Amino acid sequence: MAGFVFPNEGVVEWDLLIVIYPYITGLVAGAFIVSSLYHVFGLTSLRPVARFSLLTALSFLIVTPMPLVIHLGRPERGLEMFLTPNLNSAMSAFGYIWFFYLLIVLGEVWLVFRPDIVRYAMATEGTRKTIYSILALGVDDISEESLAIDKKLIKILAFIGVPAAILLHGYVGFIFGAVKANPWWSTPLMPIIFLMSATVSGIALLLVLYVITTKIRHASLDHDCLRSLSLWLAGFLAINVVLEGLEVFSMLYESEESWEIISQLITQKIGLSYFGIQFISGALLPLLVLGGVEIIKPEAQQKTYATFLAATLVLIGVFAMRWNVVIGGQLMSKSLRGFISYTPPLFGLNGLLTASVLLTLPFLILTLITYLLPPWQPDIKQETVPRRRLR
Amino acid sequence: MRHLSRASLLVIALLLFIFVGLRVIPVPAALVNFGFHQRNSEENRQLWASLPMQFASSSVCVNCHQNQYDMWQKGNHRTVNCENCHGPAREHLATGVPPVVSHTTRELCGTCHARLISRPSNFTQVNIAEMGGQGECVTCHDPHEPRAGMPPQVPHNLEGRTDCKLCHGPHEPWLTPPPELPHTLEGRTDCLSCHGPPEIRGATLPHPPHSLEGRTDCLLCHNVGGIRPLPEDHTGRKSTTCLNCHRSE
Amino acid sequence: MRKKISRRDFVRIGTQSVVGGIVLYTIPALFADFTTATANSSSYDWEKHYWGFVCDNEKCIGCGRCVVACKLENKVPWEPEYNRTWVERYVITEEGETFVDSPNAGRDGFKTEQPHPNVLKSFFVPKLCNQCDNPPCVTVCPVGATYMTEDGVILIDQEHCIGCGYCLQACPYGARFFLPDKRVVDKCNWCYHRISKGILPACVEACPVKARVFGDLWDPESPVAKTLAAKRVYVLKPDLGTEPKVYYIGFEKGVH
Repeated sequence: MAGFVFPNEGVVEWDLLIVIYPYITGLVAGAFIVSSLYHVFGLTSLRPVARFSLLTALSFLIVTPMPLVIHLGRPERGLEMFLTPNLNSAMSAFGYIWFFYLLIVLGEVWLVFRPDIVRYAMATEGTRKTIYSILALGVDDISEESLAIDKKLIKILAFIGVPAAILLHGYVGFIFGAVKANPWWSTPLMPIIFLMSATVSGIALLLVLYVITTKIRHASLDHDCLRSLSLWLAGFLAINVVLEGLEVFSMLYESEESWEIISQLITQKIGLSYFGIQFISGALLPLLVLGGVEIIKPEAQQKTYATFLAATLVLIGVFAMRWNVVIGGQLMSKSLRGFISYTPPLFGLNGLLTASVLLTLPFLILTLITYLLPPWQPDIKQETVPRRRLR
Repeated sequence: MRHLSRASLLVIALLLFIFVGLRVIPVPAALVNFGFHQRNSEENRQLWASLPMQFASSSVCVNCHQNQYDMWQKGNHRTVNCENCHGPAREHLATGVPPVVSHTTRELCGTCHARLISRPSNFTQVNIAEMGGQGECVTCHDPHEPRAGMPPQVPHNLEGRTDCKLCHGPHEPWLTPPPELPHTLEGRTDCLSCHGPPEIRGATLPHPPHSLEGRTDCLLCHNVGGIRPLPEDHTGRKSTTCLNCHRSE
Repeated sequence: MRKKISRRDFVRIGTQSVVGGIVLYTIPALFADFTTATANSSSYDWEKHYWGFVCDNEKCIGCGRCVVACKLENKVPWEPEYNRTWVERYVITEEGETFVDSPNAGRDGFKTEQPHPNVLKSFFVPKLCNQCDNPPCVTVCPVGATYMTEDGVILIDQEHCIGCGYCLQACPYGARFFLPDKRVVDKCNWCYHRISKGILPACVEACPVKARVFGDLWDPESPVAKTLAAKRVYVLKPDLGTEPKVYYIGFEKGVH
């Protein structure tokens, strides 16, 4: 504790769990937008990851509410957010938006994978057959006619899904941006910044996962797809950096009463994670690497490594950004005269252990879903390349 | 398309369960609290309003402690309520256990009267470590009226006045006499050892904001009902005494 | 043909369920509102009062008796991290620097001077919930557990609060805190159990120098209304538009 803080401000109330909440939400939104780039905007180069990105979005979406509920003082009353919402609250909509979005993603996943599900249901025996039959809702209709309707519906859902994804995450930014009591949060740019960093983190996550899963499957990388991902990543990242810089620059330029404490915050309290991780290693360095790869055009192997490294740095950088917003904003006293400090505990409900479990959970779910519904094989209809063997 | 109708039925069933089913199926009240937000606000307001009070007020204490109350009411501590030092009355009223002043009195008195630069300068402050030796404050000061039994304080500023006897001589006749000394001066040389130090307020009282030239009768303007009337606690003051405290500059 | 029917079914069933859900969901709530409203027959008419508060920084002596009284009256945890009210000390040096502190939230008074030479001026500022007319905490509560009463006090339904902490973030004054054992939010309510019986809040009763004034803003004879008529006052962080109902006498730059 340094300077003066109000006596009630001794602890950071929104701790590590609230840092990973927007992080996970952002990954959902970003992954979904990648799948929509293919399904809605017809970016065929992203076809190899289109189905996988949908499953990624679903896996992370399932975990999204968990850090929030665990963090509540009274988790057993968490359902009240659904049942007795105060519609003026920026937070009360979360349950509804999340639920709406879950329905969209679930629907889209189901429709996209239905032909596979039906085929598995017919081809397998025993428990697996039961599972797939339940997933197919007991209907084995994969006639041309029904698939054509499915396709139309997929397009509609993906179309609704894009604004829903934007809403889901822009809204998370609004939760922070609408807190006028906190000068570090209170800016109308916040939803846009959250949205851009969400997209960035989602693309980076898919890039990383695509490279890793291809390695695990001993399959060959689709370099067109990788390049497309890295270009989109670089593009969104550039916009993101500009916006994040603009936010602080306008604070500096307007130089309001709160600027003095904010400048202390970003230079002293969160200097390393703000300039070091969020900006330099999380944004500028990846931009340089991604740009360099485009200009120098190294051989495939090195290109893959470089892109993979850049995407990993971006993922870390976006996490640092979430930390800097959520924790950084609470380190400053509302008296604008001092700081508290925060180190996450290792154990306990709000500790590092819980956080790492929550961050691992989506990957476990993703593994399970990709085991049940392998996303890698191309659609039967558009089969142009020979089917890859699954293990 | 059977698969679509089944899927929509599933979704509708889910929605119905969440928004209707949960209301109909009995769920432990502690788990979920149904209704629109603020539905229970009236009930909750009554709950807050019904909480028990811990502090009564001095007007309750007087019912039993008339003597202390009377003394306290006339004294300089009349703005300090009984329970401020004695603690909340609730338990005392319920059980009759005598209230205890928990701190040592020097510490307790010091919370208000220890000299601090942040305190308003017209508030009585002393060097709490040295004032009257090391004993308890209450050996000299009755907490209910701290000035009881103490010699009166000098009622005016001492600036520029060095010899008290110049005005307060025991026998000299005066046109508008300052109070005569009520006791002999034999063996007493330093008046201020008993009658001071004067309150610090003298230095901070408002100075006349205008020139005094040609104005001899303050009460012409500053009388009750005048342009700038005297404060309420100034009753009985005369034009001739004003400048004792309110000095030019 | 089957396709058309199922689509129509889809729309019909969907619409019916949503409308039905809303109706079923609303009607019991309306009845409940009605019954609780009619059941209320307290002698206190909360629509006839609108409470206000004045803190006089020029009178406050920093004794901290208000903090003690508040903790005892409202069973606030004794530890200095939990406060419905507290006292701050400001020291402004001749160099123009401002130092603020509040040892133990002012609960034990102020025992020592701040270690700053060349003091230009110094004073105490009592703080408590401002019961804002435009309360950001009420706006953000996702379940409506905190609300404003007709008489202008912000209360918290602690049986309904889910402990999300959004109101703590939204309050610009640091007036709210988590109750450690109940895991819900608490804050000053101007001793609602006292003022609704016509008795002063505990801190006002406790103040030995009348630095805290409480009363009915709608009653021109109340101490608060009289003070507000006679004195120039200010509120904390007026730029945020929260419209506080705690007014301060003795303005100083840098007091937030």
